[in-house]
Amino acid sequence: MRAKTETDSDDPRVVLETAYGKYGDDLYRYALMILTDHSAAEDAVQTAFMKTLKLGKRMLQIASLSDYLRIAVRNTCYAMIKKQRRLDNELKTKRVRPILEKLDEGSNEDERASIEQALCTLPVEQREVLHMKIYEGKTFEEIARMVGIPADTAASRYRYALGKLRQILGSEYQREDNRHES
Amino acid sequence: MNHDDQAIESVLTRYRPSGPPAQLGEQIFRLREKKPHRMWPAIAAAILLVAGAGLLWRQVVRPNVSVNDQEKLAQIEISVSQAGKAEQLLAVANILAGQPGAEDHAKGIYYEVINHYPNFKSQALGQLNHKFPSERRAE
Repeated sequence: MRAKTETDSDDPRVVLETAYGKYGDDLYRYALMILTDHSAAEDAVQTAFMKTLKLGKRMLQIASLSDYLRIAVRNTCYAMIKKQRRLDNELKTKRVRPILEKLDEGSNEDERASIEQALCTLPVEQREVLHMKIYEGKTFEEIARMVGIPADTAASRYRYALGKLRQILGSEYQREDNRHES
Repeated sequence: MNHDDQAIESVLTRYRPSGPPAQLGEQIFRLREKKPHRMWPAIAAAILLVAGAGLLWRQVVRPNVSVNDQEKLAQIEISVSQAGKAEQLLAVANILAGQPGAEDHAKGIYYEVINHYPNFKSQALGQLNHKFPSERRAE
C-alpha cells in the first residue's frame, strides 16, 4: 500500500517534503506542547523527519505517513524527555520565546503568560492529550489510538488537565465564567 | 463535560501553540540532501589513503627480503642448529668424562666435535685436554 500523499512522486524526499508542507506545522505545535521549548521542538521534528527520510523507498510502503510521522515525533519527544528528565523544569524558567500565540484580540499578554505557565505545570501526558483534544480537535478514541492508551484513560487525563488548569487559572476561569453568565 | 470545563476550554482556545520557524523545513531537507554527497568523497579518500599507506609500508617499512637474504637466513638457521648440537655433544662428553669406564666414549665425542663442528673445535679441544691431560694435542 502506498503512502497517502498528495504527490505521485516515487522519490521519498519529494514525498516527505510534501508531507512536511502538509503536517509540519501541526507536528511542530504538538512537539512544542510536549516539550514546551522551541529549540527542543525543532530538534524533535527534525530528528523524526530525518529518520523517516532514511527509510528511503520503504517510506512509500507506509500506509499513513501522517500517523507515522506523528508517532515518530512523539517517540523522539519522549526520548528527549527521558534523556534529560530536568528538561521540563529547566525550560520553565529559561523560556525566552512564548509557546502560545494569540488567536483573537480579546486576549492579553498577561493572560497568555499565565496560561502558558499553567500548561507547563501539567504532567506531559496530560498536556499531550489536552493539546490533541483542544488544538487538533481529535476525539478521545483517536487520541487513544495514537497515544496507545485506552480511550477512558485519554478522557481522564484530559479531565485531570482541565481540573488542574482550573485551579491554577482561578481568576481567568471566573472571568470567563462571568462572561458566559452575562 | 460540565460548565467549568467548557469555560477553561474557551480560555484555552483563544490561543494556540506557536508554529515552526520558516526555515525548519529547509533546514531538514537541505541537511539531508547534502549528506550523501559528502559521504562519497570521504569514502573514496579513505580507500585511497589506506591503499597508499599499504604501498608505502611495503616499500619503506617492511624489510625487503631478497633471494640472497633468504640463503643467508637459511645459513644462520643451519649454524644455530649445529651450535645447538655441538653444545649438547660437549655437555654429554663432559658428563661421561667424569664417569669411570666411560672415558673412551667421552673422548670419541670430543673428537666428533673437533672433526665435524669447526666452530666448536677449539672449545672441544680445550675441554679434552683439561679432562684427559694424557690426550693433550696441539690445536
